[in-house]
Amino acid sequence: MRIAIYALVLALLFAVPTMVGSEGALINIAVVIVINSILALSLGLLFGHTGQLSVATAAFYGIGAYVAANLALKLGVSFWWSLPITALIVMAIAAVLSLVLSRLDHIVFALGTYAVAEMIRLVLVNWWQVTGGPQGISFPRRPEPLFGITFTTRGDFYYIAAVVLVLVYAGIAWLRQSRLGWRFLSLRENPTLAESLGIDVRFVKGLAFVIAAGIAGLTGVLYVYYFRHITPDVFTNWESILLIMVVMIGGLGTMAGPIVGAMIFLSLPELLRLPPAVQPVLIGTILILVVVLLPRGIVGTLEDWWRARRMVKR
Amino acid sequence: MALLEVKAVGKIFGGLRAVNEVSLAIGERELVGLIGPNGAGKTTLFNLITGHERPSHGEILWLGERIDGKMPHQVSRLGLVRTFQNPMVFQKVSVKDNLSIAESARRKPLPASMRERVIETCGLQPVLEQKPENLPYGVKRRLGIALALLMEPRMLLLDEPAAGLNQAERVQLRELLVALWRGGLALVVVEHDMKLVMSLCKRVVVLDAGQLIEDGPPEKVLSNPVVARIYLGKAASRTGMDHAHP
Repeated sequence: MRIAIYALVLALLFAVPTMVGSEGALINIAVVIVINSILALSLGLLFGHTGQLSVATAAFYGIGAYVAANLALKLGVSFWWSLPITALIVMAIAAVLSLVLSRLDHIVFALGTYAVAEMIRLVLVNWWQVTGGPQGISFPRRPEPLFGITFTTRGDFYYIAAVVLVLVYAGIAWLRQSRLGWRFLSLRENPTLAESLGIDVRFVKGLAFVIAAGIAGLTGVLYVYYFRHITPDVFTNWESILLIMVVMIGGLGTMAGPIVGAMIFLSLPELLRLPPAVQPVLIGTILILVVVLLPRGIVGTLEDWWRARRMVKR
Repeated sequence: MALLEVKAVGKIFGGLRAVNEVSLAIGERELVGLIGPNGAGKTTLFNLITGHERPSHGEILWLGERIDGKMPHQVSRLGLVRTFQNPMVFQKVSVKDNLSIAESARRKPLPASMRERVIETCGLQPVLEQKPENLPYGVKRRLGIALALLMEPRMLLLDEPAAGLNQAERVQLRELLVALWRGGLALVVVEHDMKLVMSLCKRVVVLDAGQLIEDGPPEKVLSNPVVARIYLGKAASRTGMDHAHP
């Protein structure tokens, strides 16, 4: 049953360009949803699975975008090499920051990430030699051909983003079932008990933060190669707060929740063709309804319902 | 050599001496009761031993090496594991997942037979799929002990394991503790249930106002007039109980 569902979702995911075309507004929405789904998965791992509320996701997303732009423009690094190199650089930066952040708990951790994100934003705005300052960087590049396949249309780029999404999803799913994944979960559930059972809470918390930052950095590479222009105002704390909403609407602690949240959050206002001023009202209303009526989010509620149904059948 | 040695340990919170110059040594396979009125410093002593608090002075040694100043997870990995006053478990994930989390904390993977033995010893088989938040207090207590056992400790510190349990659950708990002790584990039990302590433990340590005031077999402790006055009061003779040691 589960394999059939995965196969169907994968088929649908890769059929999107054939259904909506390789250019135009719909494929653009699809690419944006996929990119934001990856970003939401990063936060889902840190916030949903490990219980660490971070407001720095967009900051690492931004670092990833700027690092990728500089790697390509100044060092001539290709898109394909840029993906792992950028992720590693962002992870290294996150590792240094985690030395302090992993000592903080709960709301203080969230405030710490807020401060770090703001610091990163200021660097992006003011270090104009590297970031282009408030005007940002124009990036006239596309992913290089790979094995003879060229990537020129939005539809082509969609496939790249979709493959990254599948790989990140699979990686997180594997991680959650691993020994490290259980340790991540222990931080969300009861860090004091986890520590008394021999789990190095600070180290594990730092590791979750670094992995989530790496995924966000990877997403930054996709962003800069897709939009081909980056400015600091894309990677603000407000973006991170919107991502928190995405994860909560989809279902905190679930695997598919961040993706479902991103789909609803990003597609609904576009599909309903609402004026920009009304869009935040719609999103706010959805968030309030979900928090009140479905506190486990959409996917979380469905999972609970499915589990209860199976138990009744037994 | 003693497994655990506490040497002239003290803990001062502001102006309060919560633990005052306490010294004791606990050996392999000992079953020790730690008693005292509320505020005597029992839980603080546990916190000091397990790294949740740092001593203001004194030394704590495990197998001859100093452990005061180590983090709780480092102490736990040495084989000195504790449970908490309120049954600490991972409330919102199933009992099975609780056990998986505890297993993940180990450096080496746990043999499947060991996991099965812990499940059986603690009577958790019927509730493996349930979440602890829906389970009775007694089962949560046993789960808390099971989580600690998965670390394969040499010494287990139990903080009021019988608190909140009904009579049947207390009997089950006593049987569990005896089984663990017979299995080779050293146990230190903080407990207010004098009947349980006196019938279970071969050695009882008494704390009052942070100071160790008695350390010896239950008979000696019960005959100590200071202990009787401070802790047992007039009920001493009535709670003298029939000593049925394991």
